Amino acid sequence: MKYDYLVIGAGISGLSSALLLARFGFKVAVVEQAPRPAPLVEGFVRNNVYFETGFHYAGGLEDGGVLDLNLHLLGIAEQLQKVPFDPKAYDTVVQPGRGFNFSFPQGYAALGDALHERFPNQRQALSKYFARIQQITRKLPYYCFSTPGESDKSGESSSSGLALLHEHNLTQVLDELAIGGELRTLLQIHCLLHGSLPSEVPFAIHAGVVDGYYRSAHTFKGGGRALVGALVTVLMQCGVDLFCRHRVEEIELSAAGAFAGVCCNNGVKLQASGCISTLHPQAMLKLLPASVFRSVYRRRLAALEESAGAEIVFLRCERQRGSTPGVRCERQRGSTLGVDSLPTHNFQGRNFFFLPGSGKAIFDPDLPLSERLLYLNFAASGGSDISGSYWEGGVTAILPAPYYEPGTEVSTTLSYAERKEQTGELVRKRIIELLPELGPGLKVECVATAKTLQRINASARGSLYGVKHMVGQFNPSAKTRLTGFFLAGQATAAPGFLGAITSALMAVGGIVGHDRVEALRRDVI
Amino acid sequence: MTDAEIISLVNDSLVEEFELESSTMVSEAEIFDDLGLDSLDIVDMVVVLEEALGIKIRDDEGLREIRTLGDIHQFILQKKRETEAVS
Ligand SMILES: Cc1cc2nc3c(=O)[nH]c(=O)nc-3n(C[C@H](O)[C@H](O)[C@H](O)COP(=O)(O)OP(=O)(O)OC[C@H]3O[C@@H](n4cnc5c(N)ncnc54)[C@H](O)[C@@H]3O)c2cc1C
Repeated sequence: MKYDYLVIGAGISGLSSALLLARFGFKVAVVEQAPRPAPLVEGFVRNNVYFETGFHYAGGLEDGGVLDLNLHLLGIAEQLQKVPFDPKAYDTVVQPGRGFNFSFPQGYAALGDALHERFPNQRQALSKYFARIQQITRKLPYYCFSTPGESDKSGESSSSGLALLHEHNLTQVLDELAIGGELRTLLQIHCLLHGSLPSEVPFAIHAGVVDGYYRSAHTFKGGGRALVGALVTVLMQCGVDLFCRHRVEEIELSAAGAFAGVCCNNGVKLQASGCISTLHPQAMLKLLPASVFRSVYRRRLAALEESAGAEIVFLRCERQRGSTPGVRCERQRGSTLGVDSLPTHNFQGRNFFFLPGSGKAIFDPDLPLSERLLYLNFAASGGSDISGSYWEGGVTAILPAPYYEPGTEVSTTLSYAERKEQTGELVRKRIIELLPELGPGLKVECVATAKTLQRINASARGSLYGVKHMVGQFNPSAKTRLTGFFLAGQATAAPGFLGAITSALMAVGGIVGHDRVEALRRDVI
Repeated sequence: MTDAEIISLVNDSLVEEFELESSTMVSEAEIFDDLGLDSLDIVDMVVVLEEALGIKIRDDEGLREIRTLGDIHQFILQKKRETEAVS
């Protein structure tokens, strides 16, 4: 069977790319090494508790918001039920030592009011800051639906967005506006969502991430797993073939030196006239003969720095024996089933960012676990599988962590498993101290380290989001020198759900022409 | 660095990184037609020149106007002057 296009990797970028290609009438197959599609975002269920892995919340999902329109564009909006986060406090930033505490309400207006009230002296600077975010996002490719981005989408002329992406980092913009102190901390906190430091991240990329969240914060009923389910359902309806447990080991070229197909670890060969690779750029390089790209391009990709490393602790709340038995509660969101309430239920729809003590760098991965930035997310209860069984929502704790340096394992007296257990325990105790309401029923389910992320993200050093987006670092664009071969994925456009979809639009635009993709976007509005 | 030194540094870096023939490196050479670079090489060229000359290139407009090797030289000399003026 010969396809028009193969997509390598069934993450959000790959599934979105395949859907768009199918929309343009191509015969498409997606090739994924894992047993199931989108292993990064589909979460996992243990003992009837659902844990989110790579999708905790998304911005811009309000009706008519950028992500909402993208769901319509992909044709998956109907399959998903949006669940709003707490309108008054979707993200709460706490610095325990200093009693500092601020909750982000949803929407620019409410956020502006809350920040003005707290920081009356920085009123003007803040208005200018918000204006700059909205201004620069209008220039981002495939961001606004009403005005096509001004910058070159494909990177074909490739001076693309040098000024847009490499002019200013976030720190420079905050300095320019003389925004300091706690307000500065609050405006930097979402750097965790892209994994670049404020002094590194292109202001345009940061703006493209936070703009959505400043407008609204949602998840889906059933979380990341439901999102993957929706993408796969529509993909099947579009006649796209999905090959899981097929790891691409080699890309084959035609006699003329164009893309011709892939060879998988199980011996299967698939042929096509073109391809979108959504892999980590360094993993992609390994699939091709060195002669395909100029050495200067290969070296550029090989030298790309990684986004932040992290440790992730998954926890669940157990019912305590002897605690107020059988309190049936009116459930705020999620399933209509009456279930005993758990302390975690009060926190669903809210995230917490616990900051290190004052004077410490917010994202410092080398602080002891007791002091490091700690992000907490509470997955909504009430997701279910096809059998209809009810899932409780688990707790995810994410902390920046040093990279995993292959080959430089420090030999300690503790084994890897013991160290993971220790991390889990320390983080659990810290959470209970910070949120005593969660009580002793909070138990560690498992721990993911930079080493886990190394495997999941194919990132050599175990980063959260693969390649970092950084001023002065030139990530690859969609188009490559190899005929028929395009790149998408979090390295090309931006990390996150929206970044992944944007990368797919850029790659598919490179294939069919950006005018045709723009026309599709116009149809949505 | 004199202008002549800068120009020869630009040429040497491009010859080495893009595997070009030294003999083709004349100012009138069209970068796409004569040197065989294409639009996909521009970002790599930026990286190479930034490293070789210790400058920052953030000028989409200026880059877009480049047609010949001579244009690259003028562009870089200009950047170099701007950088020195700032520091
Ligand atoms: C802990 C964590 C929390 C996050 N939280 C959020 C959040 O709340 N909101 C949000 O918007 N984003 C979040 N993200 C980011 C988001 O999950 C990612 O940016 C996005 O899913 C990346 O999608 P992708 O398709 O580009 O990459 P991937 O999902 O990594 O896709 C690449 C795929 O290729 C497969 N593959 C690799 N090599 C091969 C091969 N040789 N052959 C075949 N297949 C191969 C991989 O198995 C993988 O499925 C989070 C990420 C992490 C790690």
